[in-house]
Amino acid sequence: MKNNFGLSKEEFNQLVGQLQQGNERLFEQIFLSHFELCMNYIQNQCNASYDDAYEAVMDTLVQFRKRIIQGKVHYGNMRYLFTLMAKQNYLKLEQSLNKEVMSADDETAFDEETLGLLDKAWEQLCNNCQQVLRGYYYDGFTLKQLTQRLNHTSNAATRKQKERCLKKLRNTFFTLSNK
Amino acid sequence: MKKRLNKFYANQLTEAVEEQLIKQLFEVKFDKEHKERWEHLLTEQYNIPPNQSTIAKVAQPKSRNLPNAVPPLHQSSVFTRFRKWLSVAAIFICLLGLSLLYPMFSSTNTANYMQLVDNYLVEKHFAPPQTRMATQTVSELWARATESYQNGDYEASAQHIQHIVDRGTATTEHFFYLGLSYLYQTQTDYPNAIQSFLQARQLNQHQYEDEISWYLSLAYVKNKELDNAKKELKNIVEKGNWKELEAKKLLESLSE
Repeated sequence: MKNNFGLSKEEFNQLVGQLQQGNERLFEQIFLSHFELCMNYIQNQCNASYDDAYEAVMDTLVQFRKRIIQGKVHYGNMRYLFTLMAKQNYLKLEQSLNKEVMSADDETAFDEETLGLLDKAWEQLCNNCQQVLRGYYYDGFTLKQLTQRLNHTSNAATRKQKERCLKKLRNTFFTLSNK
Repeated sequence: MKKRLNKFYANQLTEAVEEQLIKQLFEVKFDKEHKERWEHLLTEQYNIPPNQSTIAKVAQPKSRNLPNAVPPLHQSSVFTRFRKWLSVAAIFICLLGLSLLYPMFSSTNTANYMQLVDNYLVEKHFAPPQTRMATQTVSELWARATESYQNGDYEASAQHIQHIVDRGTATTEHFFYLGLSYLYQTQTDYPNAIQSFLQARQLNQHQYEDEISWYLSLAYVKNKELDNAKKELKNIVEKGNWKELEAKKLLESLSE
């Protein structure tokens, strides 16, 4: 496994640009082809089982994607950072498996029903709203970045659209939950 | 959590708490979607299923789970001994065959490295990101060029970039993709590809440094300028970065 997953600096910049534009193809091409190597590394280094190594690397993939989008990963030694994160994720996983009783009223846990309603409410949003809400709340873009990305006229316009879309999501969510 | 959700529906949360709740909800939703997609891709394209049990079911014969199971007929001692002799004989025949075929292989060495280069050229280099250019026309030409390149129409992308070059506003990136377009188009134009890569390098020695070395070496091989190709390939191997292994393999093939 090479230091930067075989990417040149230009390719890395393209990867960041494409991810920020919502195109995940290159990211998937690069990182999924290295998935097994990372798993093997975790299995060898931590004596992890196949299933645990898979889960740890999968969690790392999700986190790494976000970090790249937010400009927190730099070209240099991505492999080191990735494997370090995977190791930490494995240790976290191991700790959680060792806890005999998981907290039943976990503050951050959502039940399947709520997530199902969210999916339905999400599908009823227009494409623009989905882009704004996902960009702001999930990908972590600032209003300024979103304004540039979506070719809006001003940050204020983006903020207004975000509020409108959130209101729409909230209302649909509420209506569906009362059905 | 239910309480917080109810407050959210009623719009009774403070902005900060609401933001936190939405972030958490979206994180669960989209992380799950990503994982499901990648699990599918890993299983289908890379043969890496999420659970080892899935592999075990396919790879392990059922009799392994039965400690006292009777060995099947092909594992009896007479058969095993016969099979051992059969394997030795097969290896011997293979070695004999290879030694007889060696002169034939070495005489087709040219075909070997050409085949290697053709293989390397099958996977196309990524399309350039769309960026705004100095003037509207150059911007439009570049947008058309990148679109054509993305669609695999390399003749058209070469033409559009050539128009930018004719205007005297071409950058390293333009020359680099012009070189690639000449290299990939159906009627390949290796001399012009080489020329474009060299101009790209002349404008900026650091931008696309690794890529230019690699594609220039491929173009040189195709244009039968083997000494120049070797020089570029040695440079890639010495630096030990992008395409190092491929460069090493091609260099060995050229030196045979």
